[in-house]
Amino acid sequence: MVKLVYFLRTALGGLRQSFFVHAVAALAIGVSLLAMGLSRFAAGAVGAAVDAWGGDVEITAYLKDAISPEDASRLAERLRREERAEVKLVGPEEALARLARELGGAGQVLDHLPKNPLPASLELRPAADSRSAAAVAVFAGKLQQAPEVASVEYGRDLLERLQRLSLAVRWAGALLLALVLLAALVVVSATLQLAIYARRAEIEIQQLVGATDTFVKVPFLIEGAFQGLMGAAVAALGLLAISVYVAPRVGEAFSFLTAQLPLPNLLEVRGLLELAGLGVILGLLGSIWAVRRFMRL
Amino acid sequence: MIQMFHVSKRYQGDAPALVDINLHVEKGEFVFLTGPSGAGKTTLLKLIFCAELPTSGQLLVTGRNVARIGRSGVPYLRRHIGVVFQDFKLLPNRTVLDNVALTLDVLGVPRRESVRRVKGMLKQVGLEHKADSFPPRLSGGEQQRVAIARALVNDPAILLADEPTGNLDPKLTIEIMDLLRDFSARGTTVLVATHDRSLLERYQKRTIAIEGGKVVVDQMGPGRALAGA
Repeated sequence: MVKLVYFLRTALGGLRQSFFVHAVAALAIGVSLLAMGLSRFAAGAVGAAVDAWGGDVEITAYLKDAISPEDASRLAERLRREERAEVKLVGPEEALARLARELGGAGQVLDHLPKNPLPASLELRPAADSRSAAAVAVFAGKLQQAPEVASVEYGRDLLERLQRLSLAVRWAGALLLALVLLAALVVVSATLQLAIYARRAEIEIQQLVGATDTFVKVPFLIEGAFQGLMGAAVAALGLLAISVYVAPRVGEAFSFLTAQLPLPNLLEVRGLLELAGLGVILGLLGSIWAVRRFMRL
Repeated sequence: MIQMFHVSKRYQGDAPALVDINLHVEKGEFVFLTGPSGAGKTTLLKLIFCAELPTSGQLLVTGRNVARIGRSGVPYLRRHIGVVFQDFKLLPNRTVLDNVALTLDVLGVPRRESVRRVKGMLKQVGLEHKADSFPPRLSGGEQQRVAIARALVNDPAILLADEPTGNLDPKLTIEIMDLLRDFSARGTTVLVATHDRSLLERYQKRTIAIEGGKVVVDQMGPGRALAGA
């Protein structure tokens, strides 16, 4: 306990003594955590867009000609019950009437057909919790397997493209993030080496009067952790500013795609705790690196 | 307290710094190490406080074999040894009290107890009124007394002083040497490396002369037989 108080006092003294150097390191951690927060935000926004589009996609299952209206109704009922999907049964006559409406004046051509060529179909909207691109694809696959179904259509190309975009954004974000984190680690380590170098006389005397390596190292590790916390605070402030001033405009910019793009919340308590935790880990790693390098000399 | 058996030290690529040193220093003894610059005085002190390890031979400090304690054991051995240098090695941005308290901080002594002991120690070296001063505001003699207080505040068995008066004028030199003699009289084993012959004549203590890394003279002060002789 006595030593802990000493360590904290020494660490705070060290932060005061080399305030500018520590501030630079905290800023580096802050920027990297901010970048991480933003990349998560971007990935979340793309994911939300993909899910939102997935929700708008309708699946059309064309039934085989041999299927009777009763069988078609039974299939619709089963899908409502088992898949909790919204299902609308469109008979061949209704399909033809729709086509005639869509063709407008040219629709009269259809009157001359010897028989109605259009099959009955089911128009489906998956349940609210199954509207992601992946879930829609699974649902469509399942429908295709049904014996009553001839073919299934949905916006597969669009959804797959969105999925690829989502994946690319996530990977690019992760790669960029790794680079930023590494850069922050290097900056933290370099600043702490400066701080250690500035206190080398003190370290020499401590060792002379019987300080263990741990005794010498701990205050620097605490300084690293403090840097991390300060960096997390910088990142939280940055994210707060972005969520207040920038995020709503991003939402507006994307409103042509969907009216209610559910943007991820940047400042949840859990997210803030994660920021603080990551900041501390980053600061500690940087200081361990610095201390190891210095103590080897 | 300190025993050396055929101790040698050689730095890579250099001539041997110490050759076949055999030495016994008893508890409470006051010993001068003397010899020209580069003779090996500082190396011998460094071996005792484990800043260096012997190349060969056995060295026992307070009964512990330094070859066997390992790197992790060195800090614990050093807690029994106070060291004073010619250049004082004080932290300029810490008060006299904090400089001396550093020794007790390492031991985990609570702050209140530490302050009490440091003030008692500063009184012994005549600096109780300077507890809140910073080293650059003190004279050379005062700075060396702070360094001695730091070395002795945890009551170590051994005090090593490497040219402790090298930067001081004759009056301050006597002041510091009297202080070291007084601590020796109270039971601390004191080894002082110096090339100031006037001190040897004035204090008439056991003197070990080293030249070229070898002990060339080991003579007791008047009225005492050489230990082990």
